[in-house]
Amino acid sequence: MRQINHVKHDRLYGHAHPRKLEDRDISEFSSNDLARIRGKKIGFVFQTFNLYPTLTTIANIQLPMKIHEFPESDIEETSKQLLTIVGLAERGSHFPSQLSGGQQQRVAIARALATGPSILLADEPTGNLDTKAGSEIMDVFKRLNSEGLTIVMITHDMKIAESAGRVVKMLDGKITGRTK
Amino acid sequence: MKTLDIFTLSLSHVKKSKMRSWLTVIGIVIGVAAVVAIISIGQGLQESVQANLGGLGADLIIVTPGFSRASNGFGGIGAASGNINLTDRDLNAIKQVPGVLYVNGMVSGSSDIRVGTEKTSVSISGVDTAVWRSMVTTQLEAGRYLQPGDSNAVIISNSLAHTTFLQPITLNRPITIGGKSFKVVGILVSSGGFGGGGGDNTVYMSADYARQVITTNVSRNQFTLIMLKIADSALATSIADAITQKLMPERHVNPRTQDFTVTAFASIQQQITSIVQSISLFLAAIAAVSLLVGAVGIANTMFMSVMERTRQIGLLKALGATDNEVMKLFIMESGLFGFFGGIIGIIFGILISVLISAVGLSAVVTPQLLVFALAFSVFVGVLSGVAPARSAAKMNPVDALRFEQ
Repeated sequence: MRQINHVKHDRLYGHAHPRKLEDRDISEFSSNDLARIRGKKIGFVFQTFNLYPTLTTIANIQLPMKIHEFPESDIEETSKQLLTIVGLAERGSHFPSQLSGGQQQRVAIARALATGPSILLADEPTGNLDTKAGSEIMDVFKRLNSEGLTIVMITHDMKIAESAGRVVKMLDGKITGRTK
Repeated sequence: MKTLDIFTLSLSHVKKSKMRSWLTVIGIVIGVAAVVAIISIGQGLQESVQANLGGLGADLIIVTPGFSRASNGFGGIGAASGNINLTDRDLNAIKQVPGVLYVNGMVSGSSDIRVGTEKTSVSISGVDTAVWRSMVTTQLEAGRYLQPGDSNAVIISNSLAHTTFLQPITLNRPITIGGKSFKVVGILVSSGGFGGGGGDNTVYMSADYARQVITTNVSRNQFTLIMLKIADSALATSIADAITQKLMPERHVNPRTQDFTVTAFASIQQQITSIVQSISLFLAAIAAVSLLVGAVGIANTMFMSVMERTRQIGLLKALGATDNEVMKLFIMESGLFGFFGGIIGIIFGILISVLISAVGLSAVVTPQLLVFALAFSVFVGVLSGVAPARSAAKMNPVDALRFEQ
């Protein structure tokens, strides 16, 4: 269920080998540096969406930009664009609890893209969704991927896995097979 | 993250869980309202005591016969004894003490008063008409003060003029006191002021006439009380000591056999003021206990909140928020509880003091008190948020996100 967390942990705290991010060893980073990197370079999409429940849809998308102190005008513009990209332009003032699971996950993807990350880490993004909502999410991913975004996604669903450019199979933390 | 954005985020939590926020805030509201109300009552008490005592005149000193060794100053007024033995030798001795402006030898006692067919008992205050006017602190409602050479003239207290008899006593009305006929030349206003030795139902006349009408026997050249006015009220205590030193050889007594009491009104004021202050402080401390309970309430809410929002904290960190920013988020939230609790508590506190004023007690709300109360409740709020906020800030984002509710 939570393999991605271990990957993140390993990636960010560098247990096995020195890991490099943009030519810097990540073990040299302070916890605040890591927080900045997590926010700016990596976008996270979770199985349980993890939207901020007290903020509206648009405020959720704006949150990472506010954390990284983007200019106010950029924040307004980017958040509106992202909301349109995930097809929720009309839902900006809704709270997460007023949205369906698929809609919440699309907001989460918009939020993950807000700071313009180079990688999107998705931890079973379709795991809590029905097939229809799941395929909607995959459509969004395919479009983003075709525009040049790297997406690392964990899934149990082989059908979903088929749409990936590269598949690595894992069992109990060990790699058991690679395809493509 | 900008402080304003953190603040907005805090506010969104406070608004979203309304019930819990209100319950938390109520704890502070009660504490602050109690502190504000009690301190305002304390201040009101202090002001009214000072206003009442101020009427007595901090520049007055009284010398009474008798001495109570058990007391330390308060005994002075009450310890009037049966054997009246202050004399005009004492009076002259006191006049020589440096710093003394006027000395008034007084003869007090009680007598009957008859107005028309009505008869009652009154206090008589016999004064030295030459100096009394310079010492009396109570204003006249009508007429004039006593003058040297007045024959059979009296001044009466306000309540005696207006409420004691069915028919009010007016100026120039002939009245009979102790069998002698007198004419009313002045009526005092009603106030806490000290007219010169008497209470509410008092007739003021010259000491010579008083000796003739009061029921107790006071021979010529003797007084029941000597009142004196000094130039500088700040020196009241030292002048009182000087008078004691002067009178002891004069009266052939030593500290063990002392038979008179010198009381400075200023020192009575100081003692009463300090008692009132201690009482106010004690009450405020009790009120502060309820504020402490409110603070524990905030801390509890914040700890619960940190537990419940573990995943949100993980999310914030995953999105790039630093430990400091997470800490600020929670501290601001608890500070908000303190702030709103403070504002509402102040409003209730003012209402309570207004109600108390309406009942008749005095309560004084000063701007300083309000600023202090608000600042204190925000401080209490922030302080109770520190520990929960630290535990939130220390969370590992990975563990926090993995946290199952």
